[in-house]
Amino acid sequence: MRKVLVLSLIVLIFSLGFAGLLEEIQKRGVLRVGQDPGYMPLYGTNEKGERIGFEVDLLKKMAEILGVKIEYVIVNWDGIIPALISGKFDFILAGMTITPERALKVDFSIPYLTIGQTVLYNVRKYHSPPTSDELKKMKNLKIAVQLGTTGEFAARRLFPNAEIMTFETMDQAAYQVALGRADIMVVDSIYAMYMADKYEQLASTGELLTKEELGIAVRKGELEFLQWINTFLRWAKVSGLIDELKEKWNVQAE
Amino acid sequence: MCRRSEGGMKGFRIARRLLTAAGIFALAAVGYVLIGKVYPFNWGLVLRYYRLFLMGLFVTMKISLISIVISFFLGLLFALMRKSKIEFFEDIGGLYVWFFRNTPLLVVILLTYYGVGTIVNLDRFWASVIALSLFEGAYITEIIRSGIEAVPKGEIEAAKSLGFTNFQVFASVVFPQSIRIALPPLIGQFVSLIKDSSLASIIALGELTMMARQVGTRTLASFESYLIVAFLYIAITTIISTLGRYLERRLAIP
Repeated sequence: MRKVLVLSLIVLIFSLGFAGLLEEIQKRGVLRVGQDPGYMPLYGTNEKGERIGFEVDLLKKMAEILGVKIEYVIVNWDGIIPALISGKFDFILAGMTITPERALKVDFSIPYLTIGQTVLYNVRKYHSPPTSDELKKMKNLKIAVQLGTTGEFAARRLFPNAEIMTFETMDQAAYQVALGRADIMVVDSIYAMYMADKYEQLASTGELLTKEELGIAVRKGELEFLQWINTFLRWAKVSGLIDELKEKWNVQAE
Repeated sequence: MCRRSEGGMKGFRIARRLLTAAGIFALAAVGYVLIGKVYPFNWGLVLRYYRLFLMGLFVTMKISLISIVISFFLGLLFALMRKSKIEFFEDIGGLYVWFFRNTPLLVVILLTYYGVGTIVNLDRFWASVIALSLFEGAYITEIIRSGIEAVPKGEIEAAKSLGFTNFQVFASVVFPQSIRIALPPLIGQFVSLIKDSSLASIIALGELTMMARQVGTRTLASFESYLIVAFLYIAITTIISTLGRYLERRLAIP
């Protein structure tokens, strides 16, 4: 009897000392999410300075269920995983592709969107959409990418002879294509389609160079929190919330 | 000012410096071990990308050396303009210094690349060189100007009364002295220039900082790659400062 008491006391002390992140967030009343400046239509800032987008709406639902407010911590994409590890925010919901390399540093949720890398090009430069085979044969091909994205990795792998220009944000890289300073941009298909709709000089080839799944990243070992996120995502899929938001933001992905 | 006697004191000074170095090293080692408990260092992974660091180092050296030369001559030119008796030149010099000392370098780089660069089609390297040279040139103007002003007026008058032409006064009396006076702050400005060149990563120039960020995102070991980059910057700038001190001693008027 005494042994059981002591043991349960020890368990109690430990569980108090190591209150889970989920509990901490609810106590704190704030859900801190890490994102980079913009990846429309998933997230970005409107003219009034408010965060908008598919993932922002998903976050709002998450915060509503948890009964907390959202705090956006905006960092550069190339620093987003180190920032998560060092505790600057609770998780990353920023259109991050699940890769086994990243999974060595962070834990991923179940995927919520399936996308692919595609080519964004300037219609003044190419009269018909350039295929990847044509692009591979091109000499002095200049490719703009966002630093540290799967777009950068795919561009290096698929176009080894091209010059890769790495920019801090997606918009900076896309701007190079619009200006004609880069020939193409290799980027997530959702973003390429969004930009092609928005700017008449830009178009997407629509050819998927890769297939990737987007997931939420949490610090290694935050398993209870990850479990809750997975439950939330599964519910969001089944209840039709994801489909509803996809339609609202015109997200063309599976 | 009383100078300490050389000899006996010198040995003591070396011992003191060694002790300080050992102390700092021990502190760094303890810090490293403590950080290593939270953040698992993975040097092997980062060092596999040593070629990228070397490429970045090369670009940083190239951009810095070219900009040092151009900014020095720009500084000399505008310093002479500021000291000119022709008011128009004086105003131009003043305007130049006023503009570039009151604009952040980052903005100058963006203006050069996206503004001027789009009209005359500058590539990233030359846009960075021009921005850095113009920016640092403004500071060098002021350094050289104060060097010129520090030359005693009596000497100029003496030279003139000996029948020196204006050019001769400048070339053999003012310039050699003002350069000696300006040398220490000039070297300091060149060291700043090397460090400031890291800002060119904003326009995707593949210099040292950009390469470190690329390695950081590819290996997800950013701490290691930033430490390497800090060490490389310290190495270059220390070499420049040491060269500067040597030059100072060589040129000193005994």
